[in-house]
Amino acid sequence: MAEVIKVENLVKRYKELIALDHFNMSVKEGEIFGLLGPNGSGKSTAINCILSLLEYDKGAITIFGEKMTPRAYSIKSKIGVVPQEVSVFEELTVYENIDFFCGLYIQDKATRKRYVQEAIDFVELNDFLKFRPKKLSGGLKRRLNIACGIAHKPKLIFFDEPTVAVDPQSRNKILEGIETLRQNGTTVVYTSHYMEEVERLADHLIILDKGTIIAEGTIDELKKMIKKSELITVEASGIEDDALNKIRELKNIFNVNYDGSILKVEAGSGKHNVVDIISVLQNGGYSMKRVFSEQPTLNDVFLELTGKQLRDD
Amino acid sequence: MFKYYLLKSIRETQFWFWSLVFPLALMTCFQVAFGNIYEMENSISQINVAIIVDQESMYSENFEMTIDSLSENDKGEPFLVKQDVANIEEAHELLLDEKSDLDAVFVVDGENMEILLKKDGRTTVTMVTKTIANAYQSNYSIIMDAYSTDPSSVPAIIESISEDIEYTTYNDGIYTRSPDNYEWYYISTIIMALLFNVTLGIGVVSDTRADISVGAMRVSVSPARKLKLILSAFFSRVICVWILSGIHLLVLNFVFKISLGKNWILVVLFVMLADVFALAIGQIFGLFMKGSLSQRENKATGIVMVSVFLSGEMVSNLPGIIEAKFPILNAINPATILNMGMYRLIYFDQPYDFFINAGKILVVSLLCLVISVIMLRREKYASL
Ligand SMILES: Nc1ncnc2c1ncn2[C@@H]1O[C@H](COP(=O)(O)OP(=O)(O)O)[C@@H](O)[C@H]1O
Ligand SMILES: [Mg+2]
Repeated sequence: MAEVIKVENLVKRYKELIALDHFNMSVKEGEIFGLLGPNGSGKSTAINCILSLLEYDKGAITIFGEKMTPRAYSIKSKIGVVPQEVSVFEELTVYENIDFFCGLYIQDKATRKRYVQEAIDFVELNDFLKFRPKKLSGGLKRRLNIACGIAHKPKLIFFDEPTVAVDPQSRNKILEGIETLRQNGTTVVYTSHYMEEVERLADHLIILDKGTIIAEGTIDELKKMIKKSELITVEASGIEDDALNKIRELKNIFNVNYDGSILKVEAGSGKHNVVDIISVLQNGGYSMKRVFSEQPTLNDVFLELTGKQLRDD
Repeated sequence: MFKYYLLKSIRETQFWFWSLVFPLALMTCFQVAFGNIYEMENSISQINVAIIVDQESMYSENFEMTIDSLSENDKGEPFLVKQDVANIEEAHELLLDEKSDLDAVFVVDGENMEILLKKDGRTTVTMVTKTIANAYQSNYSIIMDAYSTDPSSVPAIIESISEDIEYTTYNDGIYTRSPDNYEWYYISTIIMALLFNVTLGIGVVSDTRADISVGAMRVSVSPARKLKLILSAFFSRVICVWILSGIHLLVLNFVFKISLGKNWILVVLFVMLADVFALAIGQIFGLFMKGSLSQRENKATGIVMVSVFLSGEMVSNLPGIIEAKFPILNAINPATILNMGMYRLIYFDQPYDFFINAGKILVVSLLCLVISVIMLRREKYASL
């Protein structure tokens, strides 16, 4: 598949602060590319540099095979942007805003009218066309922000934390919308500090921390990077040291914790971990109430790589 | 797209308040406060003088010629009107008589001159007559020289001296406006209103600079050409401020009954130019000031208020005081320049230095516009 975005050795400083330190990124056509990182890790900075809005100190950025510059109008016409802040004009209504921003790309009136209507349907803002942005709730504002960025049907869309401060229902709508866009063949770059969203959407992702890439790959690849791949919890009382030791000796197991009623076992990747543990306990004659196994999350990946939680809220 | 820029500008509510509601309210207050007095006294445009000669001389003859030339005006109504007064007693009588319109009498005796003024007369009259006397005194030797060398050149010299007097009198007379010129308040209110348009100039900047407004950020990532957007943002506001100024002038003329004078077309053009000037200055404010959009707007509004205050909006003889102490301040204060320009146009029928003043404003506006277009066209920012 063709490479849509290529970023090489991007360095961006704000005075002393190095916001991006040799950032590399490659986005393939038709995929959703996730940029995951805590607040202040440099996600927006990366996007704004790629869009040629921000000056950067070093690096090369190509989009659709051409060098991206502020005057690269043919590239710009194929891009849509949903900025982190709701970026609309307060003096214009919902409809006027969408029509205005679409008009920056689409000159033909009939086509534009159709595109604007499709965007309105897409974000379900039909009931609010005459509203000024100020009158909209947080979730509706976000939807307007999205409509303004996608109405001209771009081939490549940047979403910068589109779900911040949005109610769960609106958030789900937004995520579904992005999935629909992918089905239609749009390439999407998606940033977030919510790992569940990136985990749900992204084909490829980068995890950023303090301007540095700490991991990249597909979700499965990232999960394989860390030792812990499974957390197995067993509810059983009275397990004796003998049995615990047997579990510790099993292949793939590296952390066993028992508090008298709940047994927590961290295991590396492998298919038989649960079965192995259960059979040890059955052989010892213990009765088990509940057994469950959790796959590692991107949060675990982040935790293991940086020693801190991804989300601070 | 221009349609939306126009809509945006029209819907900027703050602008309607500062540029329309507030000034009209202010003018209505003036009307209530000065309405009655205004009926009695209408303008300072004419000063009635008389000359009494005790002893005929070359000095008195030439002075009479000078006054004659000042009171003849081929371009419009003269600002000086010569009346006949028989003798000094009649002069005293007329100057004490409230109903007489005689303002001042020059009493010439040999090579000396004395000025008699009306009791409780207008301060302008004092200034103007003194200026005339001084100017004549200091130029008298030039006239005498001319007599001895080339007598035929004397009328031309007197003509040029009187033009000079006329010019300085306009200036001094205006700078020492007495508070009884109510029109002054209306005019400076209109100037104030159009200077508040600097915030619209800042609006042009915020419409196009991605590091100031989020809407502009979106505009910046689009393939739309920056120059076109800047011009749309600018001209949509030009239209708005012109409409507003039109309303102001109409209200001034038809509601408050303050005539724009014979040169009303020039007055209108002058106001239109001043509108563009305010927008252009506003763009420069927007570009070079620091802080958020509203901080920039507040700072600019503050500067306008100071400028308007110094031009005498509240204390009408302030420009006179400034002219005596720091004339430079009057020369560079936009509100003063605009006020003077407008005042001169309306009350002195000759558009004397109008074209020079208007030219200065035009040059400054063009300069500001060029600088701002160049700066606004950049599309990459060090920080957002
Ligand atoms: N305009 C700016 N001036 C100075 N520092 C900035 C500016 N914008 C962002 N930063 C800093 O750069 C870092 C990255 O910011 P940002 O890209 O906004 O992170 P994210 O989008 O991941 O939350 C942060 O430490 C932030 O404080
Ligand atoms: Mg961000």
